[in-house]
Amino acid sequence: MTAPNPTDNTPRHGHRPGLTTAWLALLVLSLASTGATVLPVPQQIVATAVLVLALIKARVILARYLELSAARSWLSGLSVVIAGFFALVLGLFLIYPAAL
Amino acid sequence: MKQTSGIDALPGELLMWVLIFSELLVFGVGLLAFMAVRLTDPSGFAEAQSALYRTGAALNTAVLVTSGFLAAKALEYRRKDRRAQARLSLVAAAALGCVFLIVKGAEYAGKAAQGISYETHPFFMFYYLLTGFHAAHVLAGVMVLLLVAWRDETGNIEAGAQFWHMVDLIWVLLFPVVYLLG
Amino acid sequence: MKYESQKIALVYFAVAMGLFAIQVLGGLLAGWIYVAPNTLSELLPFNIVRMLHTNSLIVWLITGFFGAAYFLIPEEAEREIHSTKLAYLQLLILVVGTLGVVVTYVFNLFEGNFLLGKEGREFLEQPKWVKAGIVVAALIFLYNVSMTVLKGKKTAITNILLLGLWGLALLFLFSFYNPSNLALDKQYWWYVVHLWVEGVWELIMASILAYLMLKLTGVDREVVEKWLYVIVAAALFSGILGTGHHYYWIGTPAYWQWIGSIFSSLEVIPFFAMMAFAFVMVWKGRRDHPNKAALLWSLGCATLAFFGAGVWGFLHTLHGVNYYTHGTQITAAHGHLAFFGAYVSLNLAIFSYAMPILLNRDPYNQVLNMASFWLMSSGMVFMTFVLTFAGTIQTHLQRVLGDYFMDVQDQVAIFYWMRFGSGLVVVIGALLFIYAMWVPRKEIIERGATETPAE
Ligand code: HEM
Ligand SMILES: [Fe+2]
Repeated sequence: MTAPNPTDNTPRHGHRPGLTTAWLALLVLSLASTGATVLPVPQQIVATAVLVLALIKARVILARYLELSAARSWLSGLSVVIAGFFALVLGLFLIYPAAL
Repeated sequence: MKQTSGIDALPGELLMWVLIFSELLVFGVGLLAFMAVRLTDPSGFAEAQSALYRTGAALNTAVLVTSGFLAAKALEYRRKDRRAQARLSLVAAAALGCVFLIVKGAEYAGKAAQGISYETHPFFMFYYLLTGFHAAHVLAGVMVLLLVAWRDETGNIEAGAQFWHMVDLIWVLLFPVVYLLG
Repeated sequence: MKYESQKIALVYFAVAMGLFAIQVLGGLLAGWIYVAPNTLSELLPFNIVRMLHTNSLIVWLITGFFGAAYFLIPEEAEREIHSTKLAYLQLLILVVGTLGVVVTYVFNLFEGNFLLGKEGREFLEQPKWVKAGIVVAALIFLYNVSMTVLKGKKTAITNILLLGLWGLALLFLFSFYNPSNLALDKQYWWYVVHLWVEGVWELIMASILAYLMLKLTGVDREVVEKWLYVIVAAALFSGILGTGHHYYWIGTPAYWQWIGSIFSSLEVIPFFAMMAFAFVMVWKGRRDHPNKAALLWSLGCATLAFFGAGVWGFLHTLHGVNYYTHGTQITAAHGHLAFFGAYVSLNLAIFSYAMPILLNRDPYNQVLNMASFWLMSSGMVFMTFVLTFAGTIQTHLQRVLGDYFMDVQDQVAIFYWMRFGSGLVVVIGALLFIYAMWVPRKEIIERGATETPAE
């Protein structure tokens, strides 16, 4: 990603997917993460998939619902923080994944 | 000419962003603590987690993101001066918030019926703390949405919607960690 | 001075500084008793000395806040204080109450009497009648300043200041409830003590700092206000549930350990923000205000508050740590630097700013004041280090190895000697400050040719 130009704050309405797309994406992603938990694959993979899906959902909410798509540097910053958070969660999970 | 960078670039109400960052920190740290304490008793945590009702929580995710969509829509309407539609969307968003709370209430009631409380296991202490604190925000959010449906200046709706999206965002972080991992 | 009624502040500051002197002398005596335990053990036992030390601290800080409010509200609201008479009546009530407290403690009068006797509660040690007097005084004060603000211009600074002062008074009401169950007593006691210093007092601190920054640096009000709102939001967000860090071991449910640990950790943020605010304002400021001493105290306040409250608070706020350090000299180290950095320095900053204006001594003496800053600050910082060392050793010997309390006290005696030394430096600094405020009339520092006094 290129660094955002701080002076360029023209709204990106042109190539910006609408709210409806965002909503549908969130529904599909939620369904996918619930679906992932019943797949017959190892715990580690399920966990990774679930957290990656959650990260994408969080980003959609930030970008579209909270309108951070108009403030790219904040959007990337927060995405990185949330990605870091999920990485920590995943790391803590993977120390002892097969629980039962 | 004022250049918009730094905190001036944040859309909407600045204080709402302060709140959003603070809440993200609190829930983030709480969830990490949960994951860390899990390591002291992974099988106990997994067993406790299996008592949760995942389908209800997944349903609640759908309810909440849909409600968030309606709140975002309301702001879009209000900006186009379609006030009636904006209000209707806000009330609908609040109604879905109530649905979330009813599902959550049923979940808690189910736990109580099984004799599960915050003292049963550390898992449930975190479960009640995290989901309970979130549910309290949903309750507050419903009231905020109704309030801004009534006092419907654009700035108000903007701030109300921001609050509601925060509740949504936190749920998206919380749900996979508490309900799905394990 | 623009408004005649700002003069009210002068008497408030005078009383505050008098009590400040008593407080630090009491502290010095208490520090001496630590190293020579039999000193005055019959006449003035340690618990009484300690009570004098802590309670006079609270009373003078609050008196200073009142004075600060009387000083800055007319300027912000752009009108005279609603009633000058009421303001003096309020002070009279406070002074009579304070004298009553001191006499009651020292001679242990009316022991056990519900209305007239002592209660044995740290920081909130007043006979009930004095508490009632304090409430009356607070009501008079709130009425007086609220009327002034309501009729005048409303600024973010006065709004936040009033919010803080209202909170201060309302929370004090919890002090009337004194359940005999010690755990319950503590639970309510913290509603006052914690929600004061880590809640509403922070609002007072932020607004007074904002006022000082506005005057001293000349940064736009709009910028100052934005900072102010963010700081206040962060303070309340973290501070209210942060109360949980006192509920770890008093019999409250275990989930408080997590609520307290998480929220109180975030309390560092507003203190950090206040420090950042002060430095950014000075750095951005266009004005070279001649009152260097007030600026020094303001920056010192923000910095030492961050270290004393923020860093030293965080040090022992996680329940895993507090399990070992609870009630050791670590607590004392933190309590000292936090109170000094945040609230003592804040008061001294506003005194330094306001006194020359009130006394019409602008030009005035800054060198002595600035010297007193360095004496007091370095004394307090040294004391904090010393107590932190003592507390670390104490924690290890007593809490980890299980040695007896008094045996451990003997082993850390050297630190108590050093604490006494640093306390002596602080007392000298405090007396020098009071002298510098009231006595010298002539300027020592040359004022720069291009500078114009702010106002
Ligand atoms: C200016 C603000 C503050 C002041 C004036 C202050 C003052 C004090 C004082 C006097 C005590 C001892 C109370 C007693 O036991 O009698 C205390 C205890 C404590 N403070 Fe603070 N404090 C401040 C801010 C903070 C902050 C921001 C934190 C956390 C980040 C913190 C954490 C604690 C903790 C954990 C204790 C309990 C210590 C123990 O268990 O013995 N404080 N504080
Ligand atoms: Fe506290």
